[in-house]
Amino acid sequence: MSVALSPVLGPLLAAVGLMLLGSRRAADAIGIGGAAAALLAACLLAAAPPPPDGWLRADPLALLLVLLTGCIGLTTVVASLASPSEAQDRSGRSRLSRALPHTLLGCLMLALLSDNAGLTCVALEAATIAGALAVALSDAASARQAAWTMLMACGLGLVFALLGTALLYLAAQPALGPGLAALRWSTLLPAAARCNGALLSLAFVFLLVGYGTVAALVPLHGWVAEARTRAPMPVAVLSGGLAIVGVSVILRVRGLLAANAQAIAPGPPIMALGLASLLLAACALWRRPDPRRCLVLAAIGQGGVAAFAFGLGGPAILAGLLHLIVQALAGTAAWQCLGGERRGLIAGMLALAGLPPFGLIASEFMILGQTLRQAPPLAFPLGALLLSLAWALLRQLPALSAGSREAPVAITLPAAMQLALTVVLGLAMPGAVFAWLAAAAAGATSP
Amino acid sequence: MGPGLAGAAALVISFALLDRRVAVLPGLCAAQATAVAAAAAWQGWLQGGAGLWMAALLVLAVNGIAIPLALHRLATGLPNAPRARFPWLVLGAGLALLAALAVLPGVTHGVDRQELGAALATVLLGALMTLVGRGVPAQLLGLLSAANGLVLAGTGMPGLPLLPALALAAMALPAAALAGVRFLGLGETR
Repeated sequence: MSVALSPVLGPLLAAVGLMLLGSRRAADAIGIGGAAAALLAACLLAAAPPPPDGWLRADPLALLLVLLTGCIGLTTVVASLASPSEAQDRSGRSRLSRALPHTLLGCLMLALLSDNAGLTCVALEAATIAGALAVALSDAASARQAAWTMLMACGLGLVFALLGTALLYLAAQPALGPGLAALRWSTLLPAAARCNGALLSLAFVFLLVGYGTVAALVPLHGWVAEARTRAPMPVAVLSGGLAIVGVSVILRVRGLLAANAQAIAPGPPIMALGLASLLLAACALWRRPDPRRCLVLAAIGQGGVAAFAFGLGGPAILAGLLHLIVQALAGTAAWQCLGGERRGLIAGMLALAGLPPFGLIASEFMILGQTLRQAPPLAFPLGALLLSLAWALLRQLPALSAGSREAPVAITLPAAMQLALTVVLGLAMPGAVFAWLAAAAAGATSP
Repeated sequence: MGPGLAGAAALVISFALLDRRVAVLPGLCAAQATAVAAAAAWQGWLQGGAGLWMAALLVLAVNGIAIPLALHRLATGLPNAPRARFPWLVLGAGLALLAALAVLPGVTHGVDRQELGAALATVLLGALMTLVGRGVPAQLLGLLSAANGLVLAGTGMPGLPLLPALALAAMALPAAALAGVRFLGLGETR
């Protein structure tokens, strides 16, 4: 068994334990233990990455996102155990509903670490089913409808992604021949130049629609608002991981097409989806939605900015990765403080709006700078939409902070740590982290 | 020619799925899965691949028998509201044309273009049915039809590894959705 499997096993074993154990105290300990084991294993992998074994690989991009997901997973599990409203919900839930967030976390880890394009898709499929089931276990009829929409939309997206994966295999035949090598990300990128360009382009269309649906890029986002607003807090936060995996796969596929002279240019369609996401979020936020929907819209918009940067290519990919990480940390902190901690929620919203000293301002400036250099006509709309999104988010603050109360330290501390991380990443990023980001950006896009 | 014929049958059934009564949809979907299973078995016989035979058996057992049977019970007694209108059929024809254009001779390499084109069209028509279908059975059958198209595409790609796993992955989502409808009341608005 590969060492790279260790971040996957922690949450999945915890999920099995939670299914078997009825005791609340033991279940809490197992839940925290599983998420902590995943984060610890991700740190150990980052310290000494093993070589690819054919199924899993720990390259800089995968490690970066596994570490991020592990961090989000642990803080979310801790915060959900401490949250009074979640504790009330939890007492009435079945063992299955306690196990599902951990199953979702384990599947996300597997999708991120997978070296096989088919396994990535299957892991996302399992994560989608776990997420939809967790949404459906809520008593409300609206939650069951939201879970159905999620299952249908993401299911269709994943059928497209699987078809795109099969077409990717077909495109790689001239370069890699029959066998599993034609499905491995680690062998596909070096051989991308020798692949069938027309088939690669066809595969890209299906993969972009498929993973774009999972990543909730506009106009493929129809499922996300209802599902995340109806879900229990841990599932609402962790289902944001679907977007992280989806966008990261789109980045890998973009690298394949960019390396092939006969394939279509992958940048413009990805940039179009990214800008559309930002436009929708900026417009919808002006209607002052409820707090949960507000955070979902912010995630759609900021995810769109990251996708736009990936489409732009070059140094913008590094900025896009930074943006993806910082918005995920800030969004998670805000979700964890929702309905509980006033200061944390306000700080999270300020971070999501891209205000200093939080890190989004740094990544936004980098992306704007690269847009001015590579696609000047798009710089003005991008800048205007970013400003509009920030202003719309700031308008929500009075309503969001009303009625909040002091929260336990188990909520405030993880949220504060994540927000502090966004400040460090934006203002004083350590050189080693920058080098890691640069290696992740380069590794995903060039052989 | 054989697998291409079965693929063409699956495509024709996809069109029929767009404009039929709810009560007959499960039967049509079972027929489509049988056509896909026949295509996989035919390829298995031509290529001598055990994976293709296994995929054929899986598709026949799950998409061809188990899910349509369960759906038949679900659909019985439901009104026939989800009948598709003429514009959807025109859109479906447009999607099939798009799929045919996508597999022009210069594009494909070492595959049966006829079968791949039919598979792409089946997936697109299944997606259309899921998006425009009203009611749980119609949407679920659209997803199932798209999954059938995915397996059909896989059978037409020589040497595609883990084809039974692809078939299982394609079936997992409709099966999970059906289980959700049966046990959790997914899709209910009340």
